Amino acid sequence: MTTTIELRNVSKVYGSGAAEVHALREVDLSVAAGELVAVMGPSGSGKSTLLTIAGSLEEPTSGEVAIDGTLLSTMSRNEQARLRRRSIGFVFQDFNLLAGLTASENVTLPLELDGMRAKTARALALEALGTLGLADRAGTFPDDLSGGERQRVAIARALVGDRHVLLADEPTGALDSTNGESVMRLLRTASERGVAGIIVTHDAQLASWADRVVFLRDGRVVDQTLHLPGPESLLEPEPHR
Amino acid sequence: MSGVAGRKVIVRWTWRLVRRDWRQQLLVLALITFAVAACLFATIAAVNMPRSNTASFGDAEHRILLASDEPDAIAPVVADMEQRFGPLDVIGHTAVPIPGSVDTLDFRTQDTAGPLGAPMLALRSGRYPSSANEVAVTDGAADAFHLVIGDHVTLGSGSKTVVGTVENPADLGDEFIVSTPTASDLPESVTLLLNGHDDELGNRPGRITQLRLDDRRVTALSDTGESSERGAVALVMLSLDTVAMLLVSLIAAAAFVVIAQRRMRQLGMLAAIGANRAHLRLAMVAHGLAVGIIAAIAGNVVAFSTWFAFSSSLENLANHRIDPASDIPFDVVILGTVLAVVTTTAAAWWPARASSRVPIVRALSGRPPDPSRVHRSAAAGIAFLALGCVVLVVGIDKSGEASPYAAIGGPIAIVFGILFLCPLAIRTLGPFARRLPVTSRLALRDLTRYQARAGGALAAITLGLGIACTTIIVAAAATPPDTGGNLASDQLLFRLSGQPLMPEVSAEELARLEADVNDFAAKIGADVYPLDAVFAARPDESGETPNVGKPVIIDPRGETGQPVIMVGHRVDHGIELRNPDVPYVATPQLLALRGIDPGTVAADVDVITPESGPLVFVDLTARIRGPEDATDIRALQIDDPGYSEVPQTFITEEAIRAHGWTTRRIGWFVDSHHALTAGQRSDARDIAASSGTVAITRDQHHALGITRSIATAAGMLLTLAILAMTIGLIRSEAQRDLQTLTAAGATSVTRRTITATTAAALALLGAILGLVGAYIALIAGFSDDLHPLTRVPTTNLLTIVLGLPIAAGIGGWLLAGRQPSAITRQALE
Amino acid sequence: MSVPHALLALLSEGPSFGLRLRQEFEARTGEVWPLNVGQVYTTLQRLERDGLVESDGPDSEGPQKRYRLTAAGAAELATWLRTPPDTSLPPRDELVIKVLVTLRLPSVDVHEVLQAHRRHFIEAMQRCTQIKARADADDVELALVADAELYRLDAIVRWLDAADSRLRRHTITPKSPTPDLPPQPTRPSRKAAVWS
Repeated sequence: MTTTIELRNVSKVYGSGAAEVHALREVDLSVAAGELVAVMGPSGSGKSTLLTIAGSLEEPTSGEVAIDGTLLSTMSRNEQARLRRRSIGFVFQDFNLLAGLTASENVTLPLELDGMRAKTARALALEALGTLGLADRAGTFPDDLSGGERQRVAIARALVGDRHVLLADEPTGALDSTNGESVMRLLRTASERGVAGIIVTHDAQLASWADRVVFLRDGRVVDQTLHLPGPESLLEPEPHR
Repeated sequence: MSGVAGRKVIVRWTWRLVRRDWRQQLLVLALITFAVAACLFATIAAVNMPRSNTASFGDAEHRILLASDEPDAIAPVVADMEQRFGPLDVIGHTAVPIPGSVDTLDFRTQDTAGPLGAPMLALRSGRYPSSANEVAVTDGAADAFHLVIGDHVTLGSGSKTVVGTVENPADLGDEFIVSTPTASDLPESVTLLLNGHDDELGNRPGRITQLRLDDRRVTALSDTGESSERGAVALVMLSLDTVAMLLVSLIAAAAFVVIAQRRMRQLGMLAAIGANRAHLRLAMVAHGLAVGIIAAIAGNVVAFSTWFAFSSSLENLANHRIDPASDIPFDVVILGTVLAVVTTTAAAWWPARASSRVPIVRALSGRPPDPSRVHRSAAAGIAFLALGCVVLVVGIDKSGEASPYAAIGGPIAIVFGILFLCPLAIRTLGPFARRLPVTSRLALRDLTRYQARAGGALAAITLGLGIACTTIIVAAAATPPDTGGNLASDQLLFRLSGQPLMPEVSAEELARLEADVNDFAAKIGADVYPLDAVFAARPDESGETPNVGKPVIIDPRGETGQPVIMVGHRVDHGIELRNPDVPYVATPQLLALRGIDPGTVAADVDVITPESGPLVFVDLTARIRGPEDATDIRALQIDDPGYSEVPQTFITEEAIRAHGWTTRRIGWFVDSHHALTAGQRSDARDIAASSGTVAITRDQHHALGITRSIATAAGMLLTLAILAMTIGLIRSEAQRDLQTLTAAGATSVTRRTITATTAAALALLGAILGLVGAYIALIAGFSDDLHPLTRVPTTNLLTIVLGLPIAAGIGGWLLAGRQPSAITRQALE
Repeated sequence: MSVPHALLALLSEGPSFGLRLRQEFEARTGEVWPLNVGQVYTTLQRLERDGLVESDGPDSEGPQKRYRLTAAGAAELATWLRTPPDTSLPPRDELVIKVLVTLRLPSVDVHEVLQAHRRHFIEAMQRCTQIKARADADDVELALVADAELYRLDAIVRWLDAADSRLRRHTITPKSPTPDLPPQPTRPSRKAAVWS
């Protein structure tokens, strides 16, 4: 399996002097294509920072981040923006969509920003919305969508085109359990198609959807679950009980 | 790179937001619309203000004024001209005296259908005169002669019937009586209107030629229609528009900062999904562009509707007819509109740049960036101030001539300097806050917390007030003592003659006149000061007085009278009458009028006067061979009253006795303490006309004093408007605090106090900064001669510095009573 | 989980054989609660003894025996469905006891213990979720069972998280029975009293 996201010895310090806050300390994390990794930890453990650094929204104080084998530190700000347009999809707990654009326009946004013709982008967006069961909501503005629909539009935008890095920050936080579960199913399906994903959460149920759960505490990776055996192993008898 | 599609999607998004959140834009839209409308309307109006050449040229390219001592010498010249230039219009002029006034009126003879002169004439009512026995009059002429259609008036050779009222549509102030040309009444001078040119007369304006025909001299003044003044006015207005739009764009920038803040998270989201900084900048700039275009269109609509509605009322101000449809300077309007769009877009650029640079993670969490470092901006401010001062000091030479670069660059640098100092000034409010009650403290804290907005507002207020202060100070500095005109607007002078030559008037006549004047004064509630002049002695015992009691001088208008004793200056080669004003007898009442205590006047003083230098009495009746014949006098110098006809030179009783002169009542000075209306002035002229005397009223109606008042009022109004706009913006920022306060039991008094404090603090800071900035610029500009600046218009400046904050505070108090609306749902932004 | 009542519930749909009952039970609960054949038959015999079910007759034996719900059984099922489970269990949870014990042991890091359990439970949840994820989305019964297990495990993880953050705020210095101090039998630890 190829490593899509790789954090090497990443540290992030906010402020300086007495106000110095170590958000991340020497974090190593690699996510392979098709792997869904959950990063769990209490609030303030640095999990959101890990996500923003992995997604090139912030620069680490030290250490390296590589996406598809390219170091972010070697890229210019505009190249990073292009990487986000082409390869990285973000899903946040809320404020995911731009209010002034319809569902399909929100989905085409990264494509159009990247210079794709509106027509081509729209076709891709409708396809993505269709797979998420939102084909009939393409022309709706975010204000008129339900919470679950909005998050699904956001996921469609995060996955549209050939982006293969999915970074989600409490993606189901604002949703009820049923909607949350369907969102997680979508993320899982995406990862099975080869997308490398990181989900940041403090919710164990959410984390349990991941192939691997990494535990973060005080900016440090303290533990992680063993890689879940593939589906075939489930045919074997349960190890206990 | 990202290309057109990327930009298109950003613009589309921005446009949707403008449409969606148009209510949030209302304030700034209204402000810019108002500014655009005001600028365009003012520009159209101002361009239409100057008199066009049509007023005196009609449709002609050239005009030639012909005058001669011998009226019949002109006709041959006209004939000669006609031969040389082809068909021309001849307008005859004869000055006729207006009863009861020192002024004359132009009696014209003109072909009312002349090909070139026709645009100078328009019929208002009745008909044009068709024979030499008929005349048409302008409304002013009708007033002066009390004429209506059908009346008869005696002009020139005989009585003429008024058959119509006319006007010069290109100059409504052109008052005249017009009749058809006739051979019997030869005009004193004629104007020839013609096209084409000639080497001898030349086509240069202002060339005077002495023509000789048959040994008779005719003076010809050839004149060419100058290039229109409108172009220059348009240019001035465009630059004023630029300043105004810059001012407005400062406020707009503050509004855009708020909007950028509101969109912070959305912009962060855009960045997260791959928008680069250029995209983010475009989002805000496109917003500015959209707002600018909407406001520019709305402003055009408002400006043009106002123009079409009010252009006719502007005609009185412009003194000429205005055709609202054809007189619009479209090039200037288009330029002004483009300017509005450009400045508004530019106003959005800074917030755009700032918001594109906010770290994405910060933007996503909706946290505004840290306030900019005040010290750096303060340093820039001081650097700009210094630069501006240096440019002004160096760029303006001894004669007061400034190079255009210095005159424009210097003030601009100073303006920038002051603007950069605004955040620092806002900071200074902090320490004051500590001692104030909690509501005021909260208001001041918020100002310092939301520096970006408060700084923008303060900058706009400062700029507005700075311009007002500069105008006021310059107007005060530029008021030299002798430009006040003849009289103040509340003063009136009745005199037997406008010249220092007084006709003989019987005692009964004088008594009747005095009664009339007193009645008039009582009616308008004015004080009357009798005026006595000094005359050479009546025949004494020796009997050798060559000029006793009879008129010795005939003035050019044929009036006769006895000359008064004047005060002249002794110069190297003779005597000069620099001040043609009549000296009056120094009565205690008159001295009191001028604020002089008679007790302080030494016994040996001959004359009390503002004149300085070696002075002599001038007796025009005596034969004066040279300076040695004049009598030296001892003068007490007093302040100049600032008006040429206000009694100012007084001859003491001592001097009159010593010279054996006599005195006689020659007039009355009327001081009404309030500006005289046109009707009152007309009444005064009627009184004077009825008795053959003259009434002198103010001749100059636009004094700098008015400029000062207008600047004060305009500056304050502008500032209050800016405050009204910006306080809303600033307070909306702290809306949540206010809701918390309301929840915590705060009453409307709390809200009122907060808003009033905010408004007053900003107004006070702005006033002080504006005043300081104005003085810095002026001291630098006047550095060669600071003397004019010592005339400080204290009242006006105090009104601004103290009155404005109070007005702003009261306004804030009154407007802030409304309950804050419920916490609005922060949309998914 | 009450196996007897689950069997009663299955029989309420109609008579069935013991073997079918077991298959049915497992199908409905997925792999979450495995059940062996012996357990099913013992339970069925006990139910028959109590008169809650009846079989075809003594002639048919073993797996071929058909069971049917009696009126008493139906009544018992109805009562049971409406009676909330007894949640007022004494705090004798093994995990809680483990953590409290750990606090007394200076040589063991309590956070490590907590994390070890957390990882274990999350892994268990992952397996559960895996089952749910793999299953047909229309399989409501399986989803309900999986959810029940997930929420149960989630509750434990949450307790671990809460314990973790509480222990971080109040660092407890392990009270080792130091020989220097005389034993104080008159004032026993209140905590000890709870679970001893």
